[in-house]
Amino acid sequence: MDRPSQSERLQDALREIEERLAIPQPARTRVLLELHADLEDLSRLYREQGLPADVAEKRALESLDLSPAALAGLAAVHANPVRRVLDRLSAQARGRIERAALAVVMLSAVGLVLPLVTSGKIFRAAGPFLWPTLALCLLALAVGLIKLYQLYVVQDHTPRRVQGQLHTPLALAAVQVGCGFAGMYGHFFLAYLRSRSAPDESTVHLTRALLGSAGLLTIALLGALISALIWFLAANKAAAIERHEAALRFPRRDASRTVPTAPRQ
Amino acid sequence: MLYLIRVCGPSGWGLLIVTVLALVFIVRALSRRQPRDPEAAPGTDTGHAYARHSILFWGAMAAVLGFLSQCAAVYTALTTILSAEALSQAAVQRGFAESFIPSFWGFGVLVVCALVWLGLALANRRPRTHRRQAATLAMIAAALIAGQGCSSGDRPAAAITDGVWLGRAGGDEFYFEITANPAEGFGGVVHSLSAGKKYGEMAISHARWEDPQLELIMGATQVTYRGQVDLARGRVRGALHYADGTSRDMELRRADPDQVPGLRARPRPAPGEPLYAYRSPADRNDGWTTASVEDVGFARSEIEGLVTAVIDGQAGVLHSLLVVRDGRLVLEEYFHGYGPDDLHRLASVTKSVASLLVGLALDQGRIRDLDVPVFSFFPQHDDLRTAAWERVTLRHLLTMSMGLDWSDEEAGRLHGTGEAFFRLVLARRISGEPGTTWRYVSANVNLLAGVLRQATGRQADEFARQHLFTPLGIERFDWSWGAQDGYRAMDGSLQLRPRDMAKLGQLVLDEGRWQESQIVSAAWIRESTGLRIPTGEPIGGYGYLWWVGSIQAPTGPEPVVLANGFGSQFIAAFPEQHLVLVSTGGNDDNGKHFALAPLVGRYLLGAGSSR
Repeated sequence: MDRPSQSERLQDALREIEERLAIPQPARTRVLLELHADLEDLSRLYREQGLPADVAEKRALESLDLSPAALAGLAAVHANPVRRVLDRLSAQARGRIERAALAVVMLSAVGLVLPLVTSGKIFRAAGPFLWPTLALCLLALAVGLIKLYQLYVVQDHTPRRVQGQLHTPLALAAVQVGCGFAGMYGHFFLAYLRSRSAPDESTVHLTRALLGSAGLLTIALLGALISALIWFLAANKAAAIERHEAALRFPRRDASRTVPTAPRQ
Repeated sequence: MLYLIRVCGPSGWGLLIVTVLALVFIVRALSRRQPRDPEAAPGTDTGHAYARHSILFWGAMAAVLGFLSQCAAVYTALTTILSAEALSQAAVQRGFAESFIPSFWGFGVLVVCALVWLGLALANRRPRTHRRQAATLAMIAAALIAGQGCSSGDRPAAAITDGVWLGRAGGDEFYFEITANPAEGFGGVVHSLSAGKKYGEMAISHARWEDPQLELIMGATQVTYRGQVDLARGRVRGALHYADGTSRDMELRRADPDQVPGLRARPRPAPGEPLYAYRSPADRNDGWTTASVEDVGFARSEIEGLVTAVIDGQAGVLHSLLVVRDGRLVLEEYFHGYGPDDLHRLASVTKSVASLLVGLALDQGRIRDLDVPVFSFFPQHDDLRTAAWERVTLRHLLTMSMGLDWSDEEAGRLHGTGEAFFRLVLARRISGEPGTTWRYVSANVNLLAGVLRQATGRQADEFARQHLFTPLGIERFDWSWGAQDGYRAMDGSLQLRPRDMAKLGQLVLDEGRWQESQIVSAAWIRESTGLRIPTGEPIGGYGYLWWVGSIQAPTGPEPVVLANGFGSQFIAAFPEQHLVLVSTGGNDDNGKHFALAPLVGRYLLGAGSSR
């Protein structure tokens, strides 16, 4: 990607904004990239209206609301506690060894569950609660794979595009696990109802409830792990794109020093 | 640790790697190898924070993987349980307990990681005066939990059927091997060892296991072991209870059967190695000519099949197996820690040796003939002499047909020698016509000690040394057990080396000749090993203290002259095959005394091996 031409004015303005932003990385870089994209869009608009380049930049800076309140609002969006946690979480698989370990974890999980899944019986045992769990799993996989396609193949590095739907697979993974636990309680509740009508068979109902719960939770956890893995890949790619963009757009800063980088093992 | 990995299945290695990674991050965070970036803006996520959060992350990964493992394990176990026709309660309990292990492992790692993470977070945020205390407290808590987890991991609550349980009594070791079968419940076997040699085994006819109570009943000996089991520590505190009401404290400890010398017939071979590969016997300069099995017409595969079956336990507990053909020793194998220099008790094979000694005394004219009344050899007990006893001759003694009125219990139990014992026997009433009915009574045979002493002027062991063992080149023997008043027990206390036992077999096969010397007359060998009286036993009839019968081979019954000692002590001479087979063993209490016979028929006398 070519380095975008930008004036000293824009760079100075962004540097001044960065000093006013008291938020941690990588949210700070993310805010700056978003502001930069907005300024470039406005500047392009004014240039298309016939204004000279330097006037267009000046007009763009004046048009964009860069007041402390506006910056605080922007910072709140990018540096809220949830996103901070997600940033920290996604950073955990940035080193080679961590990635390898993550792959081993996935392979162990798949190796553990695959013989059960291939027999097909586990799906029948999981009961009616299987379907919402499977639907969530498939949705998470679809969203995650689309996101990976955008990041790796389409390579649209617009800040909003990069961040859009980035965390959805992880959220869906969490809901899958929740669905699995809800299904477990559902199984036990059904077993309770059946045992009430046929007390002599309560042991059988309880055993079947345990079997269904174990099967359901196994599927839910495996689906959640796979979804989380896709999210790891996407989130790390997004972070790499942001680092790359920051290095291109703010050349006088050493962007790599302010972006959380996994220590090399 | 290996136990934990095995129990956790495919996820075990994943859990191990995640645990190691979490530990690496803990060490990194504690050692502060990642310096804080001095140029980083406030709130920047530097190396410290990264390492700290990594601890928590990998702890959480361990918990997730552990929980997934438990779900899969519970599912698998329940599927098996629901489809099983019969269930072992112990197996269910064990499976249920083991299903929690990956979860405990994973969540244990998470708790330790969380405490370390908390300690580090506190250390970074609190005023300096409190940092060290807060961090120290969190670290101590984490270390305690990790230590507890590791110690319980090292002592897994394995099942009662895992490994073997070692108990000691005197110089002996008893290894209780408990097995479980969902259909039949618990059972097993007790291995008896001394000085690295397994001298016997007995079946656990019934076992009851209701944690922590364990009861093992050895029906053959009417001994019961009762104890309290501590599976986590691999220990059972209890006692052996005998049929006569006495008991003996015995603590059992879990042991690895593959690490106990002599417990298995042979050490487990390396992967890919055969259980047994044939090799010719060593030349020990003891009078034997050795050869390869092919040299005497055996197929190597048949011999290897025979020995492999023995190692596999199909013949029970064998200590040695030797084969001689055409006068050449072609197979010599030892098992369960025994070796060629070990003297082995011959049990009732001693009786057949006594027969040879009687033959020698006859050959030397020290005994006139076999029709001499037994009482004529016991002038010191003339006060017991009766008219009925006058009809009881040496021939009747040698054919076990004296007609004494022993009860069945006495016939099986009574052993001994010496003047008092002779009186005990000679005082018995004659209830049957001598020479008509065969009845196996070891006590009667012991009269031969007095017969030989009176006839030769020497005790049996001295007479044997001079006229039998020395000419055969048998330098070591022991006949001391049970001796009384200088008399030897003639029914079963002689000890010989297996190679020397084979010489006795060859002597019989060659009608009393050993190499170039006629040691016992051919007439006596022919007479004593001929059928003299039927026994009604499956093995065949009886000669003069030799069994005379046949062993079933693929080609039909194969005639055999057999010295037969309790526990699989055999000297078997197959005249038509010109073959001698010797075995020693410890099959006294396991019901496998004759388990070797079908193997011999199949492999040694099989179509591929016979001529």
